[in-house]
Amino acid sequence: MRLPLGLTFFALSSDYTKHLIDEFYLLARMLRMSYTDFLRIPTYKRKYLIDKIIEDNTPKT
Amino acid sequence: MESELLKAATENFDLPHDIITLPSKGKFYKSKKKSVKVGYLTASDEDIIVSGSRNRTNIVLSLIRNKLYEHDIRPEEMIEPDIEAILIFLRNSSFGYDYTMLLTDPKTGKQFEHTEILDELDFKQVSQEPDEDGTFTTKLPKTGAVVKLKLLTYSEILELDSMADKYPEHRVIPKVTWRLLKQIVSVNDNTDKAVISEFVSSLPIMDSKHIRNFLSDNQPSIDLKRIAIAPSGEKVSYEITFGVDFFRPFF
Repeated sequence: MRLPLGLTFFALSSDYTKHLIDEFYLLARMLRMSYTDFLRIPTYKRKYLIDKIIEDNTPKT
Repeated sequence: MESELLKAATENFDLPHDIITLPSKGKFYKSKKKSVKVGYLTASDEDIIVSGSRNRTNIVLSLIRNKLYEHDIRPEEMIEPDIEAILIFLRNSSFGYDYTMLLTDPKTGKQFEHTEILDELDFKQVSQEPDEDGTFTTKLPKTGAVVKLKLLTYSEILELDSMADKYPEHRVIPKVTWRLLKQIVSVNDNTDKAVISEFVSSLPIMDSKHIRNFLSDNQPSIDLKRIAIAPSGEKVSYEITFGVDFFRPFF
């Protein structure tokens, strides 16, 4: 039987928690997003918003 | 009261979601649903994934329970390919379709990076459709017995793994027997568990192998076999496995 889903399939490291908090800090600071909204917004939308904030705040050369 | 319970249990079902076609087309479930509503991954779910390092056994079930917006299909009852399809959707819709892995060039023996696009995965075609109740019927080549077989659910696979983990060390784990006891629903129309158990204990290897191959051939699945071109120009056949990086694209 093929069992490709090993135990490591979902192994986001514990560093990822810090990464999430950093993302919340950025969204709370720039968009005044609440923690409840941060937890419920789809990940792809969260990533899009973060990329957009970074893009808008990166000096253009 | 019942309607209140249902309302409470389904209050999340209007959150952003998508419709996922199941590899099984729902043929093995009572509801016969071919597709299911699955919510998008959120930071809250990512917290569950991070906690996986402490509670790995239940992490897939916990995640699917949170994301499956259907009240008449339980993740525990789903077969593994359907679980995989949902996991791939969650990964794709959150972190993108690209999945980069390391392969070995057969000519030079050196490793190279290869990127697979996960949305290009296809469902494997099966040779026989299940009966209305989601079971298969087959005649065994050696004993001639007619057996009714079922595919293992995801929770049954977890249960077998758990039983194996608890088995005394230095003893051969009877995993094949355990699996057959769960897969065989009836022998010559007899569903008595004691009869099935006795049948399995004296089952010839040829018949055991037939059951394994039969279910493997007829289990719907995602086709994970791919071919890559190595830097030397050689073709490399490989099967996608979901390693540590599958849900960790940022590190």
